[in-house]
Amino acid sequence: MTSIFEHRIRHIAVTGATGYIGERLCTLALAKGWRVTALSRKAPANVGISHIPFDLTDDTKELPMGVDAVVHLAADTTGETISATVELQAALRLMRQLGNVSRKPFVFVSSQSALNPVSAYGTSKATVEREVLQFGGIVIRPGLVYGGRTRKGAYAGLVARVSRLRLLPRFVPDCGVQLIHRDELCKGILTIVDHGISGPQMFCLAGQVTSFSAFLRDIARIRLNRSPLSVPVPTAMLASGLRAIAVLRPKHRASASSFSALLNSLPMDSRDSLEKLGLILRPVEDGLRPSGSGRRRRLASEAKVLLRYAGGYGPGPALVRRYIRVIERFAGGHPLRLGPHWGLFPSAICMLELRGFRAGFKISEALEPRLTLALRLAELTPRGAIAYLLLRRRPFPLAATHLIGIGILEMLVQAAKIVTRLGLGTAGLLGRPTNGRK
Amino acid sequence: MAENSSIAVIGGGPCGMTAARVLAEAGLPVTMLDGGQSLPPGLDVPSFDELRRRDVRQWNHVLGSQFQALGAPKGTTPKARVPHFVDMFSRYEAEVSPRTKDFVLRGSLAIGGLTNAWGAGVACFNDADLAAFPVRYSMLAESYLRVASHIGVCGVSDDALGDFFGKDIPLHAPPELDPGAKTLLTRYRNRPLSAHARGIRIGIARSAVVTRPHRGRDGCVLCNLCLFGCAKRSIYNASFDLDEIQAYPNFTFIPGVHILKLERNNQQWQIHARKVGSGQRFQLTARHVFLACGTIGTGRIILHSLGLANRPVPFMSTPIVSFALWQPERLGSPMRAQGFGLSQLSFVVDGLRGTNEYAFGNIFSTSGLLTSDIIEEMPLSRGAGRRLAKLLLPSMLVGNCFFPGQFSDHRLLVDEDGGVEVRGGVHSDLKHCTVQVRRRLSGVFARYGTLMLPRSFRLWDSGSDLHYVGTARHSREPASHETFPDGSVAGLRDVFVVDGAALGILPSKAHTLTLMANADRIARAFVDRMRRGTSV
Repeated sequence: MTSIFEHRIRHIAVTGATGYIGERLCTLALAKGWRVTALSRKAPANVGISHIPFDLTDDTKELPMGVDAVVHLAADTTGETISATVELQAALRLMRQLGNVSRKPFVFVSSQSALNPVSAYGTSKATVEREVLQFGGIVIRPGLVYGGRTRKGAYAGLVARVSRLRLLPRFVPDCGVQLIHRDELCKGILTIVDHGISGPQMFCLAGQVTSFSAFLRDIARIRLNRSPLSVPVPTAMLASGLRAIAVLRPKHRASASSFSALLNSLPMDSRDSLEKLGLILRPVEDGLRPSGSGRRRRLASEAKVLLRYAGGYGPGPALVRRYIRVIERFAGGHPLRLGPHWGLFPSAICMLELRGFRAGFKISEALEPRLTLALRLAELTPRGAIAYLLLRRRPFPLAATHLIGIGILEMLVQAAKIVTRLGLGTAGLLGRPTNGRK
Repeated sequence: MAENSSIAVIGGGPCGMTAARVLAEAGLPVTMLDGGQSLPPGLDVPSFDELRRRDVRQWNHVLGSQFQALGAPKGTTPKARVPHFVDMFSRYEAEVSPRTKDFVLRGSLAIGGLTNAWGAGVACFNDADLAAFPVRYSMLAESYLRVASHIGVCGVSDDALGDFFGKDIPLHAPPELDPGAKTLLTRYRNRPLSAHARGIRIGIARSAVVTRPHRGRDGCVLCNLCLFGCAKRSIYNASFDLDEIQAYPNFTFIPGVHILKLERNNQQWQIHARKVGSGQRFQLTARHVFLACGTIGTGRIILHSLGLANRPVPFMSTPIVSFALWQPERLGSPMRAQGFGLSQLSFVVDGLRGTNEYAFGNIFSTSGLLTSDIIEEMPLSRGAGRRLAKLLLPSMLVGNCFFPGQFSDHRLLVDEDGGVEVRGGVHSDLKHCTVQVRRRLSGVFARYGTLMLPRSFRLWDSGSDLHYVGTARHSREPASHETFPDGSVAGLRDVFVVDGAALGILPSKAHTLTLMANADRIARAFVDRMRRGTSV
């Protein structure tokens, strides 16, 4: 592997630059300050990219001079079957034009379905893979690529399909998919190019095998903000459905067949590849959000826990949004690192407070102003008026008992904090790292 | 503006409006220059109770649409955290950019000045209060009567504090008392000797609030929205006077200006001003100038105009403490729908430091407050605090207590460019005195079934009271920045001070009415001299 200090990548050529993966790759490469030349039929939307009209069947076009790497994403999506031969010829032409692939990476983005090709799509990919590796290039096998807001690509088609369904299928037996967020795939590609990694090498980039039905549910819930019901559907129906689409709707044939190829794929082991490229995949819940990030989601969980604790009632969505707005406005929008289990028992937040005895958790300092905020925001709703104001007379004996009860409970909480502090302190003494929440 | 006899009144607060009215009524050509910020009239909701129970947008009213109230510094009064007051104070801060040390400086560039955010406490100073001042009660008596009749004052004249507040002014009936306040007062009236033995007297508060229709304003309806600005106009706000005075053809109002200094030019004053916000400079000319921009503002203009840079000028304020009270017998009482947010009762603590100095305080209902304010003060985890506060709050009362100006020791400095610096200080006796007062008050209140909550007695930062006076005090032999009893500045001919800067004494009693009466007195004397043709 050659180091990045030897290779200053400045100019990459991307085929299929206007596709689902290609457009994002170009954006990210431009952001790194690289020069990008797009080889595609249509001109790319990004400003600042040179364009060479290019088609897989075209043998007239040349790569521009001074290209440092080629990323080959272009594949058949039309509906006409471009034969495996044509695809192969296109790849070979590009490789020859690039020249010395030991210094200049040629990255072919293949598919998981090439692992055990059962469809024309998979077979074609597998053939090209072999040639690329023989030539000394690099092959990437991504799993199911998802994420972003776009109309292109198999993922977009899936989202569109799910949005039209009233009921979601729950496949029996379930199909497995291995997901990778589009940004992560692009990051992987750019890392390969940046580091001038020389081939022949194969990278399998995808997450662990997860349930396809669960993925569909997540799309509905997170991406589309719906919660449709699921009905069990035999997997065989899906397969025949896809075959039907391939026959009846020529336009969608490629998607349908690539899809069914993916579903029939064998699982691939991606651990080594991910590690080599330093990729840590984000959780699907984060990746499905249009922003791709889980920051807002984490702020929302934080809001729900703190508001529930401070106000004593479950906050509605408007109240949660308000909390988020204030944190974004006054505290940079950074979520606290509260674990998910606080949501089960929000009352336990009292253990983290700096009131009374300090239990010694690191998170307490950052928590204080947010609790003050939650206390205030939770008060200022009609529901909050009920929670914070005594609106009906309470008979004195009852009120007095309640008062004493609150006092006793609070003493127990403070005692528990003392015990916790001793426990944490002892752990420190024994040389174990204290269990301070960061 | 006519050159030879025109009068510029700088500042449209209670004193400026009082003086301007007198001058305009007399037919003199008057121009008022003011910061001119307009504030929203108050919330358009029926009551605080309705707001809390039904309004889904209540957060917007209480915190501001941009949550600006959350950015307000901690340790300010609940009123100062209301969004449009946060805006008012931050606008002042932005325009004046004061440097402060150990002092909380707040001001207002809004029409009506600090009466936009005041507690509306009023009282007459008697001769004992005025002893060290070259103005006697007899000189102010008529003015007190006129001003009080104009602004409308509620209270009673025949209780333990009747003499203290002054008996010679007309009074509206006070708003209905909170049950807790009523309990405390009744207990006191049944056994007053317990309190008197410790030098404490309790009575009904006297406030510049009308409880029946008065000069186009509605009487108080107990909507409990006092802290947000009184939309019914029951609480006096000097901005109400503007419409009345603008009816005079000889009166001109110029809002949106901030005065930098005065420069003598032949027989005229060149007023150097700049537009608030844009900073664009301009000038005006006047023969006489009445300064009413508040102690800091007036002091600044005088010092800068005299070229007295970096010379510290002493001034006073009333150190303030607050505390919480609880009446155990009322535990379980619900929060009332109706209420009055300003002072319910007042009390006087005589004999501070063994002299005739006294502390003066007020008792407030908790019904217009936000529970989270109290919860934050409690040394309990917030969950428990919320449950506790919910239970206790309706049977609680909140109190404050002011100490006389002698316990403060502040300095105002103006630099070469007219920038303001304020250094706060307290007398060494203050700490000890507050402890004494706390003991006396908690002892007396306890005898009336009202317990002072431990650790709730708290001294606020200097300047939090907003009762600053004395940067240009009246004196028979004034220094160049100070004033003669007729209001004229010793070192600036034809310039008069009619606001708190002129007050050289500061008992803990509410002083706004006295300032307005003084402004009335000075303006009337000026008008008399004008009429008689004697030079000023």
